[in-house]
Amino acid sequence: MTENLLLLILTVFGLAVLLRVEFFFYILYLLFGVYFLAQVWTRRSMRQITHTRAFTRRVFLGEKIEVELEITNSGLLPVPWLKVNETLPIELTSPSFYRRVVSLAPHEHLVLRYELDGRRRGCYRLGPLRLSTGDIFGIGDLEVREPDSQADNLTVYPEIVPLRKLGLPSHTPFGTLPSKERIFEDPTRITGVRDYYSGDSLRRIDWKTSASVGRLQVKQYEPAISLETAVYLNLNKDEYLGGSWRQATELAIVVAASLATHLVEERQAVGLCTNGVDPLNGEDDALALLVRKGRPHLMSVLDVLARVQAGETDPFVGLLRQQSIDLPWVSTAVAITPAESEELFPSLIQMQRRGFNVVLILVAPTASFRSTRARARQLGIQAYRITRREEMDVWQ
Amino acid sequence: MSGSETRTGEGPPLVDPPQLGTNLVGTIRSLLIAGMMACVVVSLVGVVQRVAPYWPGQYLALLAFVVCLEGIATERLLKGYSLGSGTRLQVRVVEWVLILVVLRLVLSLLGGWASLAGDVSRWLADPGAIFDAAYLTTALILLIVWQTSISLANDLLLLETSAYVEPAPPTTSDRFWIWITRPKDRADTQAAMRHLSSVFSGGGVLLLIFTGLAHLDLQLLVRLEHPSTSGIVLTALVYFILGLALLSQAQFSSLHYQWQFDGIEVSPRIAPRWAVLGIASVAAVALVALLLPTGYSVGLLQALYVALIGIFDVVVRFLMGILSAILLVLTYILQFFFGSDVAPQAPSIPSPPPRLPEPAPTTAEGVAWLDLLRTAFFWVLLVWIVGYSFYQYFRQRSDLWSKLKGVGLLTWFVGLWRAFFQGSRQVVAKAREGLRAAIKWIGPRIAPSLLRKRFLSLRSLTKRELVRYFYLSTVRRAGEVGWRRKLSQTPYEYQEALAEEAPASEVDVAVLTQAFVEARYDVREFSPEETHVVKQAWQRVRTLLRRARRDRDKSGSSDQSERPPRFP
Repeated sequence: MTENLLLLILTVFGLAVLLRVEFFFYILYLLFGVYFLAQVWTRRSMRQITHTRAFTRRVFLGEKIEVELEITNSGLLPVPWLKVNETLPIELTSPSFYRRVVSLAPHEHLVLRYELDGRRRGCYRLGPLRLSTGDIFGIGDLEVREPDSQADNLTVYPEIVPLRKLGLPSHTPFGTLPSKERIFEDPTRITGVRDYYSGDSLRRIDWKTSASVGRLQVKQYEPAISLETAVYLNLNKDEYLGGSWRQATELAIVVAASLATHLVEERQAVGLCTNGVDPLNGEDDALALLVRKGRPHLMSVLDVLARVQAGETDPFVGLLRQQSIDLPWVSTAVAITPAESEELFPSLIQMQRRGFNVVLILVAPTASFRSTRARARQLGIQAYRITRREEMDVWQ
Repeated sequence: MSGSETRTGEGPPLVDPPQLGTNLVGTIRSLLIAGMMACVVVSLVGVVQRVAPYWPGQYLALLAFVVCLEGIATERLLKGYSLGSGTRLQVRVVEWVLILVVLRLVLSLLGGWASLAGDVSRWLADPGAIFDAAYLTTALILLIVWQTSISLANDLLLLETSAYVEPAPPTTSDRFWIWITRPKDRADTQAAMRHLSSVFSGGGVLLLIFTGLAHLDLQLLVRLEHPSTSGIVLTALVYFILGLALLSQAQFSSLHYQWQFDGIEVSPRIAPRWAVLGIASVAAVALVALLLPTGYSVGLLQALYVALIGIFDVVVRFLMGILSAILLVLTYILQFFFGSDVAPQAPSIPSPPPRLPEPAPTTAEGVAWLDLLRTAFFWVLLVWIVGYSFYQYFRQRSDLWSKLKGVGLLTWFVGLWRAFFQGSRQVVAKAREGLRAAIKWIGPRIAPSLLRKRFLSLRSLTKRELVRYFYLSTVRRAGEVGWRRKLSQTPYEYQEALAEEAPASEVDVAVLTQAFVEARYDVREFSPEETHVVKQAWQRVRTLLRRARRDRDKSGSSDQSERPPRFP
């Protein structure tokens, strides 16, 4: 159509010069002006459009995510039509796009909203956003912009199963988990008072209560243990037998996430090591987070667990040997792996000899668990098998 | 479009045919097409009447308008039915026969009832008398415009397929996946748009040719001795404005069809804004075009000749001046060394070389400089328009350009054009730089406060920014009155100080202050109602401060030692 109009302009020029009718020059200006305006308008419109995307970047599984796409026309020219095409991850919504056609007045900003469903863990990219516009006569070139650096990442954390009781052993004297062994009394956890007996330490006397009661009273402390736990997560695809490796690895990640969350909620320190693949980094090296306390550290652990994928990586026993070097003394090591292997128990025994408390969790449904558990019990290792989420209530 | 939906097998569902009266957009488009055809017919009538002055063509435009509307309306009606081509042709033939009959009666009725009665009796006696030259000419013209309008209506109907495409189901429903994966026939809207623009262009060219032929003496035209013709050609203006409006509407329909076909949700604000922008842009261009020159007193070649002569003259005078100065200095040096009893004489300046003959003036008084300037601007503008159009055309048709590149003259011309374009770009860039530098230099010396002011669009601000602006604007105005805020004062302290100076505004200032503190230090968003309340308070305080400033200016007191805070 542009060609037709250009030919018309040139023809009108020729007719105007040949026939010398002055009004024809006015028609020429009119046609050329419309053509030129359309060209300039389209180019300038696209330059004056900006956009931002606002959404909660980290959500838990099952949560809905509302994304606000704010598009602003910062210039003086109105935008007659603007086609917005946002590419979305198919795992979070279907269809995997968001498309609208809108119109913007000068200095107008528009907020478009759409919802995603956090139904699968992972790290997803929202966008890129593709904007198309044009003029109202169909003359100007269509402007299409694909800003490739504007993609935003959304992290969906793995499922977390609440655990009330883990029953993990520890030899560290002070901590915040209740213990049956009274040799570890935590002076910060006061459970009550009792009458003073000869031999009680004077430092344990509760003077205020003694004054109100009229006789000496001593504080009673709750025994507690401290757990510094490192979770070793095996995501080497080759060690998961059969076609159910996806399901088993996902379950392993859920177990790791649930454990880490529970421990942090109990104000314990937790660390994570895994031989999975981080798609953001793309490297084959093991991912390791040191043992730390606190919710921010838990978020870091969950970030890694959200992103990590199973792949053909280093064997699990190598990870155990290498990463356990930096563990603090008498920590607890929780190994989450699909099944027992030839090299696994020797590695666990070595860790036990170095002073670690070892817990073994198997997640593959095909493991011959009875013999494994018996063997582990002989070695003083607690062993559990989790093949379905419901089986996690062994700790609940 | 209205109507119930009926399915016919696997194809796209048909809808009850849209009625002309219920479809406002369709009616407007029909009127646009009919109007364009009528304009072309008016110009044709002008030409024909130069040859045959007694031909009754005065009513032809109205007849063409009505016939076009009829053709478009029946085409819309027929589109809703699955008719074979044979049946459709039969309908059209019957329709055309009816039109011919009505036309014959109307042409006879133009002379009155008596004329009609006489004609009827003549036809009964001699049926061949029905087909006279005027009737045949009129019928032929009407047939052409009728057929053209039907063709244009077909293009538009192809684009207006909102009634022929099943709208997309909601994306959350299962039916959406069935809908999006079902193979659908996408209509070739680009072909329809191309045809539409071709007819528009062709009709426009014909109209201009007819108009030119109607106004000019053909003998003079052939010898190229015809004078220029001034005045407004209303039919041409109306035709092109209607045509541009139609193209705009067609483009909207084409895009809307594509969006609907792809299942994309479209904002309802687009359609009304489209119409407004179409009218506004054409009107704006038309107004700007009114300011541009449309006539010239000197032809292009003549103007180039005069320009060259002028440049040559200036250069020669400059060179002669330099030469004269050098000779004068040499003469004095020689006289100093060799001495002379005769007083030194200024050397005679050699006469400048003979000038080229000037072109003959077009009027008895010669060409006025202003007229020449206007003509020069006119030709520069036209050369730019033509050059730019050619450039854009060959950009679209790169295959054609590759073929033409071998032509030496064209390559030379393109080189010349590029040099001209780049040269003018550099000139414009230098002029812009110079202007900026001049403003930078002059500005602080003449109007510092004028330059520091900048235009702020309140519509571009968010609600929080708007509240902050209201408060800071109040502080600035109060400072201009003489009630400036000290830098150490908090907003609440300033509120109390201002309340003492202007007790009438105490409540409004309190509203502004509180809102500002929340906007500045809190993270909550302001609702439109809250912003409106703050704005009303601001407006009242502003009125009061303006009055106070006027009173202060009248009394002549001022206290503007420190500038009030500016809006960040």
